[in-house]
Amino acid sequence: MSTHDTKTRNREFEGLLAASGVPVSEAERDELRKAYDTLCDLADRVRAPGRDWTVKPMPSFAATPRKSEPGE
Amino acid sequence: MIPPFPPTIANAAVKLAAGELTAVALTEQCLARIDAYDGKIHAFHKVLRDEALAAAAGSDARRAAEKTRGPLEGIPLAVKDVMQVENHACTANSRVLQDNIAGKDATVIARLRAAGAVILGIVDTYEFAFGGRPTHDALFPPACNPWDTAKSTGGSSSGCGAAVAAGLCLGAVGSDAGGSIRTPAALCGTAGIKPTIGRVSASGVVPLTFSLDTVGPLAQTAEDCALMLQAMAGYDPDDQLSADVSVPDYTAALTGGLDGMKIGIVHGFYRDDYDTPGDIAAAYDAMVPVLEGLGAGVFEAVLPPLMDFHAVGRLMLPTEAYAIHEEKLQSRWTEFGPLARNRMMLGAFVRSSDYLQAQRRRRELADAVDAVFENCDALVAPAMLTPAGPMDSNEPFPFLAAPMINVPFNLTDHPAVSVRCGFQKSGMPVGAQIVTRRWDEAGALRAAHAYEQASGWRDARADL
Repeated sequence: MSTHDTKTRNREFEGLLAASGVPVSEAERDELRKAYDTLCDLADRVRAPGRDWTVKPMPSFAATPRKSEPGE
Repeated sequence: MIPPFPPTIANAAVKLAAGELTAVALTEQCLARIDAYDGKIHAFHKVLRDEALAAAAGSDARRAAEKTRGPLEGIPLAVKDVMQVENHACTANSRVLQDNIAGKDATVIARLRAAGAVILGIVDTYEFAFGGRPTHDALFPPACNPWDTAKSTGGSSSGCGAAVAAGLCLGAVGSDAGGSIRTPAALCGTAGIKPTIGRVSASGVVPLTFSLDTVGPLAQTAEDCALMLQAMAGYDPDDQLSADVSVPDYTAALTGGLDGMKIGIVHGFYRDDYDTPGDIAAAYDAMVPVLEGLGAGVFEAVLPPLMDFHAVGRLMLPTEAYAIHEEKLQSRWTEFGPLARNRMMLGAFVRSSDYLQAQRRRRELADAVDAVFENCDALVAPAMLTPAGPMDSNEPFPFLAAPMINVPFNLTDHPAVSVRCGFQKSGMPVGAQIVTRRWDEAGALRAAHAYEQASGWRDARADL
């Protein structure tokens, strides 16, 4: 995300804020806009160029009770 | 006259069994200390005085009839205000939930009652269990640190840390998705354990996230945490993440030293990845000779940079919290405290691809920690990198700047015990975390218990 310039970032931010439908105040909007830059930096950090697609997300949800791990 | 600091759970159990103490007297001791000190500590949202005394009398009656339920029989405990306690409001310290009366106990509370524990009251949490700094703009005022009431307890299990450190209860039930048990345990100088996800049921607990939430105890010592965890752990079909695995005997596991145990110190987290104050870093360094004296082999463990864990955690937590609260954020925005609502609001700005890339990085980080565990039995890492912050901080997003020191083992799902490991020059406590392989809570508790006994740090109390 951080490859975008400030103008693009502003547009992204305003679009995401509008899409949320949440009625933030002007003061809160300003603070959130600053925090958005940090979030963009963090989002860059979790990416890895050329990461193999075999690296799958950690499981987050289990439809059935989890079983013990080997060696327990 | 104000009663003295209460005994540990283990010592109280011995005295109760020997007839030297009754559950009613122990409960009255805690209630008297709440009356004396909670006006300045603000740990309790609600004191269940009459219910607690009735439960204590019931416990004494069972003991007289030789029908005791175990080592928690007659032990007064506090409950973080994100867990349902039957017939009482479960508010998560939010005006959004101030009328949320629980129809039944959370599973973990029901289990503690079944083990004979006395539920003394409901204690403070940062609003909706989101950590960072005290939430002055929530439903209840924030708990203060008993070691210095101008300082934060850390959170989000703020009332648990404060109540245990002030001797207002013997143990407390907290929750931890990004350090919310271990941070207040470290800053308040108590013990606390974040178990493996699924070890303790989260049914009846207000969630912060879908994929990281855990429930665990805070108490004066690791031994007390073992006693509480014994009653709290176990499969629960009402929790989709609950694990159908056997529960070991945690108290039995405390016996024996650390002979032959290989322990890695995560030196890089506090020496390379953050400019940790010297007195805090020195406390971690000083753990090494104590652990070696117990028979452990200690080496320097190298993990990925702390900021890599931080980045994943800081994308995941707000995103999941936002998803949980999205509807109420849209329709009841003004009822949330500004701090909590804006923290959650960050989740609206994380795209699905960002979230999934974070989950993929999480996989790599977990694999890296698992690889280290192939050659060791436990890791020792800081549970705090900075002193407790001031109570009057008004930073909007304090967690975005400094790396979250406790989030790595939420992401990797390894159990971690916070244990007191010294004091800062200011007199405030320092806490470290002892981490083991998934499901090996017993190993973490054993190492923490041995360290507590050998180090001699655990007996000092906050001067109230």
